[in-house]
Amino acid sequence: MTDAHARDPLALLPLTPPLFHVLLSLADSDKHGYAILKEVESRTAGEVVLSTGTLYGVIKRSLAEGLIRASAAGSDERRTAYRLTAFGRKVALAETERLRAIVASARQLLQEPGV
Amino acid sequence: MPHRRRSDRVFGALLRLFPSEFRGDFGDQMSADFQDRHQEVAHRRGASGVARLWARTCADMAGSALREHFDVLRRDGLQALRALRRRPASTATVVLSLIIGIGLNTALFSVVRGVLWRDLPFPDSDRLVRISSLDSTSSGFLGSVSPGEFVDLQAHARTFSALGAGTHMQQTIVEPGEPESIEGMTVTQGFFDALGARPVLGRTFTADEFRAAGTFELRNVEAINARLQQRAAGLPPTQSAVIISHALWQRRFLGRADIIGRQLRLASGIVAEVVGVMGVEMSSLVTPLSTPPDWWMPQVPLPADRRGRRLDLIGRLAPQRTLEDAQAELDVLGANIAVAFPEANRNRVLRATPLLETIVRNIRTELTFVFGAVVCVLLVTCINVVHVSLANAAGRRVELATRVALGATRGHLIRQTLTESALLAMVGGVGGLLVAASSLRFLLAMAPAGMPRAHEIDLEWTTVLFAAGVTVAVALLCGLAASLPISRVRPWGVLSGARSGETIRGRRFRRALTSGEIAIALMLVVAAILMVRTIRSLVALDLGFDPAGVVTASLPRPSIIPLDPSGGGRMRELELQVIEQVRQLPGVLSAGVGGSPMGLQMGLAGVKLDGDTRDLGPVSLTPVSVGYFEALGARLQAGRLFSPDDRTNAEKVAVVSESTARRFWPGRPALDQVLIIPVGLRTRIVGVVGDMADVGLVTKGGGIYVPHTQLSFVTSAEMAIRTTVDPQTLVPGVRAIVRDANPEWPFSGVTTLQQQIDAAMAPRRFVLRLVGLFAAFAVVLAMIGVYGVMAESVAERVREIGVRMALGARRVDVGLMILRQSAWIVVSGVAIGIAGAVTLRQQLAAMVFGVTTLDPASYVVAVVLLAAAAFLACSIPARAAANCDPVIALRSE
Repeated sequence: MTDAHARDPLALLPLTPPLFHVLLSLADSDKHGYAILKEVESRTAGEVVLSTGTLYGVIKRSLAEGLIRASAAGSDERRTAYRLTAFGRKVALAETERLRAIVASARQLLQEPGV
Repeated sequence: MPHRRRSDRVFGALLRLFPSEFRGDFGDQMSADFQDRHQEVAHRRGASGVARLWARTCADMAGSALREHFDVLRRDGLQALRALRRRPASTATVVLSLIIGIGLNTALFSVVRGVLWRDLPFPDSDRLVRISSLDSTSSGFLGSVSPGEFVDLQAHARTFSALGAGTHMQQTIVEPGEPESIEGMTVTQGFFDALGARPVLGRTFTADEFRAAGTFELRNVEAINARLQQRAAGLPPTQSAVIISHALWQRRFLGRADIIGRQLRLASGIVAEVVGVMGVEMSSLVTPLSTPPDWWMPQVPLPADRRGRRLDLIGRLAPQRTLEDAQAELDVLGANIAVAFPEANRNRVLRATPLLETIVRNIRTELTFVFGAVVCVLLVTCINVVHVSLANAAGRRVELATRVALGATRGHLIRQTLTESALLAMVGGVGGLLVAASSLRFLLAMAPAGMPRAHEIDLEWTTVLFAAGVTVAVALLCGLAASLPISRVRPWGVLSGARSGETIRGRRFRRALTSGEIAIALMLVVAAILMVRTIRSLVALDLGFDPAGVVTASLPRPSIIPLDPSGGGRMRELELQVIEQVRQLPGVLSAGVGGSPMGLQMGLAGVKLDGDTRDLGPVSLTPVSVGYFEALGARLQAGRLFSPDDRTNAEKVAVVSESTARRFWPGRPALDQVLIIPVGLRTRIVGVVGDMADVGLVTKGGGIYVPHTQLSFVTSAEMAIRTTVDPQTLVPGVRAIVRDANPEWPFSGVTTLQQQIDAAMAPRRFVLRLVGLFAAFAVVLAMIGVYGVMAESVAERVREIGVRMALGARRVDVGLMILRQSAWIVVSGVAIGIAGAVTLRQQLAAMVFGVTTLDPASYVVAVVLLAAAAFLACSIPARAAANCDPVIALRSE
């Protein structure tokens, strides 16, 4: 597996929106696939709806990159639950920082009042 | 819940779109998730919600599955790349040989397709046929028809929607520009329509132009003389229309748009107005012995002319009619004509042949053979690819077995091998296409001059398609062959032994492949040796004449001084004068006029023996001047050659060739016999000369020779000059003499007899060069294969060798042991190769000469050559084995 400590989180940026959402949905607790779908949907008020195929593609790559790992807690005989790794958290934070910087510079450029 | 089960099944089917690995990892979870969602949506949104869910899921699954497959491909590709990088030398060799192999195949495919397979550049060209009139007793293939036959067919044939015919001839353009003799055709009405050819500029001939053409003769000496006198008297010239070829337009008239309406003055006294320019497609229209025509003029065939077989007849099959229909009708019509005109048509049949076939027939054998040879080269290349893949797989056996033990299916492993060979094939394919693009020029330069349709050869989309097809075929073939032993990986065996190496089956398989390589290489070497011997036989051939130092130049007639009352007679005097002056040039031994033996022969019908009414059948008749036989170095066998005394008004005499003498007067001396020749009446035989090789080189001809002064019609002729100096140094002097005699006399086509002989050998030399090249290439590849297999074998047996040496085996014994092992590969390969060569020898039979396709010496030389090469290739690993240090060998274990 990938050594999370040795790698630079910035190397994986930018994240695709589905991946970012999946990482965010795992931030507070371990979840299995269906719970991730529901969480993403409710957190974005139904704006982002992941389909099964896309979700598991993201899960596969996240596993391979060491962003998440399978977790015993929350798994049942049908489903595996996933947990955000420390490296995954760093990457999600880095992406958040990247987006924040973009938003900030966009606001400045557009001179939005009240900033 | 039947509803639930159905949606389960459908989702299960969608899951199958994913790679099996992915399915195994996530399939159950995906199913469970989808079922939960399905239930929820059905509950909250009803049927319309479920429908939307399905629509979205299907699209998403298809897209995701595709992405996962790409992911697998990318991973396999990277892995294959790593595996290949571990063996840089063998990978580079294989890639290089693949590039050359695919490149040569692609280039030759372009040639074969352009010449043999591609449709002729005329609309619905598969419906075009050539109709020949043949002597049913001869084995001829193409035969021109008489004007009478043409007119009959036009009136009665119903299986053709159009018929048109043309006669090849030369005309000399005198003005504008330099006098130049140019090949062309006079054509009948319907000629261009039958072909479906349209001019790129101007128009084709009108009915009026055909009517006008019916009133004059282009080649009759008296008619030409009359026209020239008419011109000298200041009378308006005889007018005709002419259409020129695209090539002539570009070359002589620089492609000027105002060419239509230009008047060309011809040496035959005609002033021809250019009415059209035909497109380049007309240059595809050649027969085996003709060059592409550069002009066309109208002609009207005379129904009464039944003997002058000089029309090349082309027909277009009527809709819904087949070639068989046409042949059936021609059989009936031919029989009717033979009944109506027994004199001219006894034993004659009409035959329809696809036009394309008549054009490419002479080169078909050569091209097909060469193409077959290059496919063999590709096969050897493929075997080397399999070798590398197998060696990679063998090196990875422990890894593979571990993966199988951990649950990877055999399918994964086969896929990995396929990816490897696909990677190699892809590099080979792209590189091959580049090689083809750059080598096509050299290939065309090597092709025999006058190869039909050479200008139609190019790299186009079918070539790219072919290269792609070959690439895919190579990838599949090599990948599957290489995965044969892999699919038998038995993890317990490999892992318990824990030694990396091939299975016995895999090793046997590789040795069998190596034998196959040797077999193919041997076959190509045999073919190359047979071709070498053929060329040597041809060079050593007794031609019946001596080509050394003989220059020939075309001397197109008619070319007469205007105002000459005696026409043809005066022209011949002029020719004699030219010959006499040429003979005075320093370095000239003898000179004469009379056509090269390698040139076209004129067949003449209606020759009879004195006191006999039977027609002797077509016989070649060549008008020659004094000095002709001497210039060629022909061998006089009896009687005398022609002398200056054989003038127009003297006794009609002839010289016959040896075979003709035997044919006409078997068992009797030919001298002083009398022949009745249609154009010269009673003719006494005064001499017999040896047969001379004709245009086919290996066949001999001759026939009847008459003094050109005694012939009342004109043929184009060639001057032959025998010299002791470099032929090229003579050219200015001869040109000056010809100019001096008549400024309108074009002097061109200067070549040596040796060059003509070389041209006749060109198709065989072409085959020899390519097959020789391919054979050498195949031998090198096969030796790389032999070396590879033996080197790996030595590496594998290093422990055994160490033990043997530790127990006292001598170095020489160890080396011999390795050589013995390789001997089996070589011997079986040679045996298969000989069997293959013997089986396929018919493919070569048409091209070899002076040696049989079973020539034992050639086979022995080929076997010795290959065995020696194989010995060299094996001696490197054998020496390595012999020099192996037992201590180190044993320590390595």
